[in-house]
Amino acid sequence: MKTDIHNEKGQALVFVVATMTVALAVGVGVSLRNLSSLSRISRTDTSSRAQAAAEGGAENVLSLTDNELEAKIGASPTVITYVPTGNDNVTAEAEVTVDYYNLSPDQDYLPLLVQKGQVVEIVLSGDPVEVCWSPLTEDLSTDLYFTSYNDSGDVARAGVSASSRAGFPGSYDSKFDGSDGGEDGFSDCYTPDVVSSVTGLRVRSINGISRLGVYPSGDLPDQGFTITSVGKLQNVEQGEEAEVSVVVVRSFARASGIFDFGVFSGSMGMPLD
Amino acid sequence: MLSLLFKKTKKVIIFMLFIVGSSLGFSFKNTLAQSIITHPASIRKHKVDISPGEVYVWQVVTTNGKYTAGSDTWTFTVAAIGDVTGWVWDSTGKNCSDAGASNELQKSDLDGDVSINLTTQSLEGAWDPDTFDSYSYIVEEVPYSTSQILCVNVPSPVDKANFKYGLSCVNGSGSDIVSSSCATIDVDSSTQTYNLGYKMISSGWFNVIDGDVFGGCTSCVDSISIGIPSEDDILGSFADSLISGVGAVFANGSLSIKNPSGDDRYVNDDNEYYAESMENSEFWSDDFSFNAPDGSEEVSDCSDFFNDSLEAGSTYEADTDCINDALSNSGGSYSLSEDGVAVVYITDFDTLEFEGEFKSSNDDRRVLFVTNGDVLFSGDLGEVAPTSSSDPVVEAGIIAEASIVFESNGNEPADDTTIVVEGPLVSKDGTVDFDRDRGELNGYPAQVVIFNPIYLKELKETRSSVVDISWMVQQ
Repeated sequence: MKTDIHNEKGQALVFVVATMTVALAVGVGVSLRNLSSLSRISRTDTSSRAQAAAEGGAENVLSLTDNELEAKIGASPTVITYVPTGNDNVTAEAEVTVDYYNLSPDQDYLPLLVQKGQVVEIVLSGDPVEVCWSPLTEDLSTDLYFTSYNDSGDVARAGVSASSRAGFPGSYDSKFDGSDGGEDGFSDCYTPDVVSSVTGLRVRSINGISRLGVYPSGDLPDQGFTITSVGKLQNVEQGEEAEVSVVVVRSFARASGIFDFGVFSGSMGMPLD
Repeated sequence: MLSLLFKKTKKVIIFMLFIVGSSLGFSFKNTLAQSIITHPASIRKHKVDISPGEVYVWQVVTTNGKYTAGSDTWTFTVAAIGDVTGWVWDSTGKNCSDAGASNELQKSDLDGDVSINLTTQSLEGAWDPDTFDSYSYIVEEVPYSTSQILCVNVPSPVDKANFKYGLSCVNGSGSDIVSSSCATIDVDSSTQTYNLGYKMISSGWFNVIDGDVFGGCTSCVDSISIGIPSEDDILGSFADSLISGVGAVFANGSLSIKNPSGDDRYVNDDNEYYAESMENSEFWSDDFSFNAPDGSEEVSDCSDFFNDSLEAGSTYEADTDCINDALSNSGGSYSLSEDGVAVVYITDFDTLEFEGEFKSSNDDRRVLFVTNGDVLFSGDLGEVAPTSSSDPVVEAGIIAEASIVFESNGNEPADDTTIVVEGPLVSKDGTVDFDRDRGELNGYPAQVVIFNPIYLKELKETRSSVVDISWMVQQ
């Protein structure tokens, strides 16, 4: 049985996140509370209207809490109907389902993308992982820094240097471990030491954007949610039907990257002394 | 009838004769000069040479050949004098017995000239390592006496902004030191030697336990600049490094975290990690907001805010006055309803002030403050003799858009204590201003920040968390 939600604002107000739709699987860290203030654009042609409906449906559930999303797993799809506001009488509909996100059976590694200077978090259940990575652009190599923690309040840190130093500032100097070489198309790999009974591994990308592959040594816990939203149009003429699926991977909620620091002095004009 | 006054200096006695009545036909002599002073005038001033270290009996005698009259006698000792000389030398990392020309502090070593003052005699000395061959300084004609105070002001070392010189050796030992610049000396010979060894000591430092440290300044000489004392000088079992335990140091610019020997002292852990001169690291998390999330509880009466149990996982918002009142009324402690973190957003730009202790009743429960304004830790908070296992006096995380300041009580003389707080301490656009200075040898860090990882785990349960999202479109 479907759960229907009618959006009285109409399709013209369906909004999408422009920066998120331009590329596939581009990871962007977003504050949960900010999801409701993202930019909106309208779509007019049928394909675009179906896509907009799908994106709107996905976004409708994106800002839910982890607990609220978990409650939708295995439940009936949520259907959101966008009432037409124009003269064409075309109704758009988004059918949204939620599931946990994890490695698919044909995947050897969990793919992730980390923006420059930012952090992603891998949920773990006691086992260490190997992390392989490449810079998103070859001329901007990246080092990685890891913070692992457990439920007992223990913390471990580790850092690794890329084998390539392309694009690092001339005066950049660091002391990190060396990488173990690459595999599966990744230029470098490294297995960071983690705390016992590790529950979270946070990865920070230094100098540029990193494309990660996380290779589990055991079962990898779920990493978040897969939100599938199928946009469809109704009351369209034959041959103009359109159906567009939007799949959104949303991580479990995590602490922002600044919580890795004991002391963070962001001033561009005053030294820490 | 006559009377006399005299003044004794180190080398002469100046005396005056006051003659009442006619002095015609009388001549005068004194016991020291042994010379006849024919004195027709009523008042004359005369000088008689005396020698240091001698005992004299003073009497003025007048005679006309027939009659003789003498003044009362006065016995006195002319104090002996001697020259005090010695090396002013750099004892950093050396034994007190290493005084000598090879370790002499040169003008090129210092940011100015050394000044010397024998305070008990108001005598100034001279320091000139370029001219003097067998010593660095000399104080001339110092009267023999014990327990005299010799103060030597040694300027800061050149190119080591985080260090100053402190007196550590007096004639081969660490005794007789009165302060970081003064020594007690005895002068009992004509040439007295006091070699004064000065070593580099930190001008105030801080220690972070198990946390990463980031300095964002790109226009500074160094993004992070700290003088870490020598291991032997550190008190309270603190590490001789910026970070104790696990952690890394990151900086957009360069790092200057050195001990007096010039060694980098970033992390004391075997796995020392750091990255400097990252230029534009983009470490600030743009996903973090200083605005309270929707659904936060607005608090307007804070009188008992921290006396009631806060809800773990909840977010609150209030203005600074309200929260400062709440801190004042907290009685130094707070509690949460259950394990977790409560987040308090401050809605204006005033200064959040910690004037007293603020401790959680439970290690698994914490408050996180998020504010647009400054944060101040009072100079009154702290302890004199902390250890690396001292408990924090403020158990909360702080994320500030402006600066976080550790107030100093002033350092003349040094009267700051050491404050131990929890981190994260995060300043987005300002700095974390570690103003305190323990003075003297600065063996204790003046500020200690203990990283608490509870926020990594528990913020997930609040609306202050963030998520990562990836989109894929299938036509």
